[in-house]
Amino acid sequence: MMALKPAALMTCTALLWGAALSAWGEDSSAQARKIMGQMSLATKTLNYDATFVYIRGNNVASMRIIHKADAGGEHERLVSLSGSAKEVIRNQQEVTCIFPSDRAVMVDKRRPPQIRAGLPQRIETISDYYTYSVLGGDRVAGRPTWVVAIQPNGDDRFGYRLWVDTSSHLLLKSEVLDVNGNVLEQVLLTAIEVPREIPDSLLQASISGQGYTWHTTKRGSRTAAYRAEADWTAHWLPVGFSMQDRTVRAMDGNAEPVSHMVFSDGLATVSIFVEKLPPDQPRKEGFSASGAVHTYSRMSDDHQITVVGEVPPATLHKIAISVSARTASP
Amino acid sequence: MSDESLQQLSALIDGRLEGDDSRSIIGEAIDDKELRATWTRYHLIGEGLRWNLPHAIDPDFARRVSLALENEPAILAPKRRRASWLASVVGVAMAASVAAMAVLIIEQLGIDAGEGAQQPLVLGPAMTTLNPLPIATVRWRTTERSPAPERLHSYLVNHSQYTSNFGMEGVSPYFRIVGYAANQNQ
Repeated sequence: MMALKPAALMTCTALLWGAALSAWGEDSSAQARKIMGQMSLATKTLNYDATFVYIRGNNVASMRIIHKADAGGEHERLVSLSGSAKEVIRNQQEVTCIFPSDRAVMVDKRRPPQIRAGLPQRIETISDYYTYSVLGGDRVAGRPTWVVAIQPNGDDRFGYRLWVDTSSHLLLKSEVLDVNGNVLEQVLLTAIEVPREIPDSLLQASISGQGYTWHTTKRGSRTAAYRAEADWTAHWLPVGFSMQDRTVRAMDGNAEPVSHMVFSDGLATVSIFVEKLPPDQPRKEGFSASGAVHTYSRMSDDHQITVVGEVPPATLHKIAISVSARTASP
Repeated sequence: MSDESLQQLSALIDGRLEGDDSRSIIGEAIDDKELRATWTRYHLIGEGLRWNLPHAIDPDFARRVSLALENEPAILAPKRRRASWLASVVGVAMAASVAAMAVLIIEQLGIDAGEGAQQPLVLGPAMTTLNPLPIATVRWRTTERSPAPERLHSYLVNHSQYTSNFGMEGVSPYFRIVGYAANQNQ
């Protein structure tokens, strides 16, 4: 890890630990990967009820997450404890977002769950793009944790620091860091319980949604004709990113279907959205950001290409300008 | 500005002060800029608590009234001194703190839910127009050139579905959608 350029070194802590790690660097990497594997498993298989804060610059929001794993798969309810009482409830079938202030409910019917390589398997394949290490121990939500650093090799990706509970292996704190080691956003648990049982009542929305406007996105609205036309592709992505999914879906506010491509290197995810704008809609090009999520939009004739992801803006820009339509297949 | 002054000011605003007492505190306010600013804030807080805050606060309004009075020589001349201090109190350029407080009050009272929430809220001497975003919208650091926040929000919801499958596994990927901070003035 000492071979990295200084800018990529994440923190002073990392530097301090660097000396210690160089002695057992190999072990540290292996240990970090083991901890992440355990974390991944715990996140999916345990019942937990936790409150946490999400910190992004000067903004803080508090939330409660209730997670249940049983024979029916994973069930999760995320509730905002500050501001408007937004909720997101997801299970194997669908994701429901409730926005009381807008009196709106968004339901997204996902495709049936598919067996995908979990993080433990992916960790091995992505070690070319990231360097793992154990920075040491810390304490979060009153519980002892390991601190794992994931540093990108190069400037195309963000780095992460994870605080993983030494007993439950759940993630208790995480940070996303830019190439200069600045923290872009943090999630910090303040209290957590790992109960044997989670009553179903805790996973029910507190709002019935009666009288709300419901927006339902169903998959399968794609048409063969459109799919042939919407053959967009990105010609550049950082090494290690590969396409994970490609869908065409309807979105509010545009009669034309929106093409959505998903790429991942195993840790960071990048989405490319392409939509044909109606003639009266303003053409927009530029960056935006929310915490670690950045976006960049540009126009290609009358199509707007927007790249969204937890990667540096420069990476998004490079991806966006490489997107073009392949010649329509006959 | 003593505690007693503040209490008197509060009593004055509540209509509980009469005669010499009220003249005395008004006299004090004429000379004390801080006290005048407090007077403005008290009114703002009071209106906020009574859910009476207008959809738009125009800090230049008082100055315009004041100017109009200046140009109204005949009738209002005898009361000019009083009128001008009143005007200047109301017209105390909305300091950043006052503007911030107004935003705070509005948010604490949950005024976001009303129809009025879609009205632009005008604050501050620079007449900044804050168009409240739908609460569902993640607060984006946007430029004029980036797509509408609503659209970015839809993109984020769709993008988030995949971050759990392919990305870092840990807390729900939806925390960014739920964790949109309350304040919208960036």
